[in-house]
Amino acid sequence: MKILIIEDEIKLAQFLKKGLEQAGHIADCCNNGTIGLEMAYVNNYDLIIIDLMLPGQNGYEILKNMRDFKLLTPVIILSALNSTENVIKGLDSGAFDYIKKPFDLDELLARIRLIQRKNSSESDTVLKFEGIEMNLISREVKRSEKNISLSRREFSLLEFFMNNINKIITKTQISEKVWESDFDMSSNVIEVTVYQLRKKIDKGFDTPLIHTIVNVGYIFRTEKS
Amino acid sequence: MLYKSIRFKITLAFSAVFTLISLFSGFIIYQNIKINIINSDNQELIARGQVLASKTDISPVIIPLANNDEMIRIDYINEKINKNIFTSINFPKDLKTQRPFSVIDLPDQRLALVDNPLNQDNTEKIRVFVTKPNIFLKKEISFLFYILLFSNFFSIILASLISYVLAGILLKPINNIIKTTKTITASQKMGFIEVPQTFDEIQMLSETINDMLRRIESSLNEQNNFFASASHELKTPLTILKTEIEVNLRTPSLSNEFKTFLISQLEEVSRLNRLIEDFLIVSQLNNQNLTLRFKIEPLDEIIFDVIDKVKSILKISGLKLNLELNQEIDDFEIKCDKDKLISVFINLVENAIKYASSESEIKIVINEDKNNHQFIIEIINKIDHQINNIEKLTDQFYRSDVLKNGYGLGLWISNKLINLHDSKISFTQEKGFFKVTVFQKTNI
Repeated sequence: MKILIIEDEIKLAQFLKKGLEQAGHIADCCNNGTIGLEMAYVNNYDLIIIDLMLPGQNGYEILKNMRDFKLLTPVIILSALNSTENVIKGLDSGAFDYIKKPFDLDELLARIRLIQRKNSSESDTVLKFEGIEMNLISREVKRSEKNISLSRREFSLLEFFMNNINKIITKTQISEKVWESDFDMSSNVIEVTVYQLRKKIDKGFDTPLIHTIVNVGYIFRTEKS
Repeated sequence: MLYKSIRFKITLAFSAVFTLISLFSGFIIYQNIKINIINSDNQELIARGQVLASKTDISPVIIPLANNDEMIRIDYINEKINKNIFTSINFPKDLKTQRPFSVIDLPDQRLALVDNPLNQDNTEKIRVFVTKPNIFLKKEISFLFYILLFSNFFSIILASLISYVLAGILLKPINNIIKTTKTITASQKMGFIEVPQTFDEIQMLSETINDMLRRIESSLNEQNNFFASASHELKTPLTILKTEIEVNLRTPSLSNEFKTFLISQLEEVSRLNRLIEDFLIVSQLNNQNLTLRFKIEPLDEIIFDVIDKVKSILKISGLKLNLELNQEIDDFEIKCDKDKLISVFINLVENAIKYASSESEIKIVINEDKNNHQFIIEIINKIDHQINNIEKLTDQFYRSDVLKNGYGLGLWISNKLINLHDSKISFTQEKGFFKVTVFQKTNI
């Protein structure tokens, strides 16, 4: 992705540029709000990362001017102003996301991937299997046109299942991929989350999809397959 | 504490002064009236003696009749003789010398002596002694004594009551000041006390207190602004440090030694960041301007987020983590301020990691108490030493083990934040295990 960083702390902007480039993106830096807005208008960026307190124009003004110029590039605000009021104001001004400083680089890259996905075609962003429709952008899940509300972990778990249909998945794999941490094997976190997901995905439908393989893990499939 | 109040002291002082004055004046009045009563009784008895003397004759001898309660003795006196003419039965004997026209007191009687001259040169006279019982006079004086004593006592009680009521009325503005001042809390918007337009010391006091409150309010606001701006200013260099370390950690050619060094630096940066956050929360809690934003959130996700945040220090510690969720829980949803609750549980789990015996296990158990509409979250870790003063753990700046890292704010903040969720936190230790239990209400 081609990304513009509008950040008045030059050192931070440079490290951020380096981090984004390591992740395979192309990044430009700018440390003044007004110049940043000009650059955003002239160049065709896929994403703009802005600080709120900037010389020239502040972050909110940049967002307002971008919307006035019909510039619809997604914006992520990166700010040390941590109050909820600032977050709400930032999102209401049209920002796609608001990340509080100091931030985790991994988290920022994950949010960028989400924007990347949003720009992809529907076939990449919607997973379908046996009447289940899973939109990875809007995070909506339906089975047989019935809306299902999932928590973040349940959503990640279902996404992992949907990407591994008919494959045996061990608890260790789930722990690493969904929780990104390795629990003590005596923890029942995975069982409980699978149990909660089962209640929402399988209960009330004719074909159960999540099957337990004793002492191994789980498999996501229809009985006949 | 009534006896320590100014109202009581004013009443006591006023009553003491009034009692002294009242008793002194009562005594003077008593003495005067008593003398008047005795004088009047004396005159009455002398007059009676004169009547009896005037009715007495020598030749022929005429003796007047005495009343029932009277006793008389009549003597005839001239230059040569002193002759007794008549003496009532039981008339007192051995009389003391007495001046004519005077009254003396005997044990049960009053005795008057009256002379009635029979010629002009006073060489021949009738001397009349007349007595009457003194019981009536004694009763009258005694009645006077008691009526004065009672009226004095009654007026002292009445004066004390009136002074108590008056002191109350006088001190009412001060009590109002105390009552209002008690409700004023140290926050950004402090209340002020009402200034009574009485143009006296009370009005001056109210105005002085309000001036002081304004100074406190302004200094609190300055302090609060300092915390807010200091925390913002500190976050910028922290962000630079963090990003620099994270970017460098991604360099593929990094040696393991340098990588370990950078990870350790990253940990310290995170700790510094949490410290700044804690100071900000402390200032907001102390100024009572911490705003919580309640939303429905899944408790299990909150705990997962917490584990996610502590996983690196868990890895360094070499401890195992065991999370047990009760399978019978249908719904993990609670109404809470998610960010604040996450910071509470990060703090509790970090504490468990910090104080756990090496190579042991941290256990987090979530159960539901449906009857009381709450979740019970237990964080259990093995400990090497007993923790002293367990009840002091939630005190501000209290540290159970001064050798460990920490500044004694974490549990204080956690306790306050949990209380703001209408929930409770408790600490217990048993058989070498330390347990923190959070009773988290599902709905507030």
